[in-house]
Amino acid sequence: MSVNPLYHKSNVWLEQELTWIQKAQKDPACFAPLYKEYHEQIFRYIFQRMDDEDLAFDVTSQVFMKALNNINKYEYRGVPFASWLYRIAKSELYQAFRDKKAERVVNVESVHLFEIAEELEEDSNEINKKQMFACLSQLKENDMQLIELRFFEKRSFREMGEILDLTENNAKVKTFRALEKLKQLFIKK
Amino acid sequence: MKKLKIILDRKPMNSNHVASKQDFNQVLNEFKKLKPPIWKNPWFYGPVGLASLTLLMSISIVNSKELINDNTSTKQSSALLPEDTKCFHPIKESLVQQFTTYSIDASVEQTINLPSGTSIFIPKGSLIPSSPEKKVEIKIREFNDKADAFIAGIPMDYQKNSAFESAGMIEIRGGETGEKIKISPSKPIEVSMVLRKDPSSFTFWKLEEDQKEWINYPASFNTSKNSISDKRNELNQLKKELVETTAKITSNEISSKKIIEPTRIENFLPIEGNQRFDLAFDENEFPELEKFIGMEFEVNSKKKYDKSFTKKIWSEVDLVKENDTYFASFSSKTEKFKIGVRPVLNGIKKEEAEINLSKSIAFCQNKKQELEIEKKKLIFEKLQQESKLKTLVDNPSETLLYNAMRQEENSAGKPNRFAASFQTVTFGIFNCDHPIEYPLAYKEEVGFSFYGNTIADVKSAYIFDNDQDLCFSFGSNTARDLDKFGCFEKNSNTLFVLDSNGSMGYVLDYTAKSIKNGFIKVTVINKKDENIEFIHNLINENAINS
Repeated sequence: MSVNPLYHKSNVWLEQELTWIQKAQKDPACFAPLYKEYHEQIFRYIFQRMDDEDLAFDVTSQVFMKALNNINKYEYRGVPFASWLYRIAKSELYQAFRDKKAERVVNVESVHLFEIAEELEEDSNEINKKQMFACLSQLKENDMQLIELRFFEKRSFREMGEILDLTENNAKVKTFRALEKLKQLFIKK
Repeated sequence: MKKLKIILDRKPMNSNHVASKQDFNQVLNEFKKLKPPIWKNPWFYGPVGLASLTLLMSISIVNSKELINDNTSTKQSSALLPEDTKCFHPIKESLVQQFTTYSIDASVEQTINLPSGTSIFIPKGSLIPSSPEKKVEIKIREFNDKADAFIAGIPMDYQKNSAFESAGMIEIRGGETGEKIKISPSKPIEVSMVLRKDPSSFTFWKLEEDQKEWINYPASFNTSKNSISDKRNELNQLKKELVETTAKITSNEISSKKIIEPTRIENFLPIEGNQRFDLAFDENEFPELEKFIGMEFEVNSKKKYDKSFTKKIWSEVDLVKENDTYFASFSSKTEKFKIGVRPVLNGIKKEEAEINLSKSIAFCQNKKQELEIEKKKLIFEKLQQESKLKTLVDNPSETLLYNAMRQEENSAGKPNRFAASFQTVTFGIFNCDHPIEYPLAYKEEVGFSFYGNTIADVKSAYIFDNDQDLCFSFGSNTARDLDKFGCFEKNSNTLFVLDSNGSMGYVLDYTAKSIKNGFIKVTVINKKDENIEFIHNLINENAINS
């Protein structure tokens, strides 16, 4: 499965990013390029998981406000800045669910369902698509989170690990297990 | 189980639309509202601090005589550990739960296993003492319920409007003979903290002691016993697979050894270089040789012999069979010669046998090659399994799970164990919590009176909500004033109050009905009962023998 190149940054880019971070740590106004760079990614991450567009924009703003508030605590220790933002986004998102401001939803495209069917060595046809759709709704949140990051957002296992605070290998193993569970549900149907 | 709502093929959102919603200025303005007051800004302490210092020095010179005799002034000078910091407000210093101290050798990796099942893994070189031979002290406090956190004075509020329901909290400190010690940023300490509740709806936090604020902290949760069981099953399965693979390799080697290529001797075919000759014999005497039409005999001897015997004239030639071995014996008047021989095929039969032998040899070689390939695969598989097993047991992050598994095994029969795993490069308080909003304040302010005493000057009041397993705090050293006092009426509550003289009081089964004419009558705790056990029992609604 190909991964989304959007989430991958070159070393030159990471150095540039680090310069922005260092500037933002001294002057919050210098956070602007980071905000501009990651606003859409973070918004899409949030909006993928909720159905209320306005609230998704609000939560996104909240994420950047938290990031700005804690920027002095950010230290580069191998985890890219984007993953740090995703962790904050994850926390804010679940806070919104807990506060019952939003309902947790999963957005799926048909093409993703076909891809998962192929991954499970099943035919990519309409019947299997419908069946896969029904099975997805039975997955638990933890498993769905992995399927979502891997198949709907095309993230690498490394990035999944960084967002979910797992090792790359652990992310791989857990995704494999989630797929296995999906397959079992699919077979039972 | 609640089903997830899944939306199929939602209309994709245009990037321009997302970009149009970007508003950095709004984020910046919101952030500015969050900025700490000026006295929290380090720059503030430049000029103001200097002025204050000058003032203090002047005062201290004037009062030096008195201060020299004041022993208490030096008492707090070794204020190194958090129990002395302003972030914590224990109800009474004498009641504070003590740390358990572990003296460790930082030059080797260490795992501290606490009685609760929590384990702390300290990698080699994680803590750097001033000299290598010095031991490092790790101080740990676990807070097992709301009473523990309350007695220790840990602020359990979140953003002024919520209180924390905790699933588990731990305080970890490190020091070396009274001095604080740092954790190497490249070698974080790893903690697997046992939780007393399912953390599915909980978040993980660390207390920022300077700001007196809980901040989100990355941790992974084992949300059920199954995740540990899964891990154990995976480990057992891996061990089983490793044994099976090893057995398959052994079986493969045995099968390979069993494949023996047929020889020319077995197939009665001549061997190049060996001497052959015709020999007339009585077919009745050797019926088994009947099938060797047009046969020859080939010398079958490893010993050196006179090869010219075929050129000599013999008066008598005979074929004999001794113990399944044929011998040709030759005799003349002057000499006798005997040599081992074997019948070999000749002509068409030989050609047929040659073809069959080639086929058999090719078959054996193919079979051996297949087994060799299979063996290589199995060896590779075994190496992978061994490596995976090693990772599962040796890898620090996996070790946490492995430790958790062992803890689970040690506590067989006990209820489900939930756990939070996290890494840290700083010491402090880590908490698995779920914020719950404060109840609405009573419309009218209430007062407190102690039974049989005058109206008490209550400094702070605490509502222990036993249904939600948390504490709402009001008054001095808390985030909410006493005029915000209130409780959830439908829940089971215990009220605890502290007055300005340090006296303590309580009301069990507290509700709004406990308020009479605007006053709550509080039962005073006798001085002899001012101990951890009593307060613990009181808060946790156990029997009180007072």
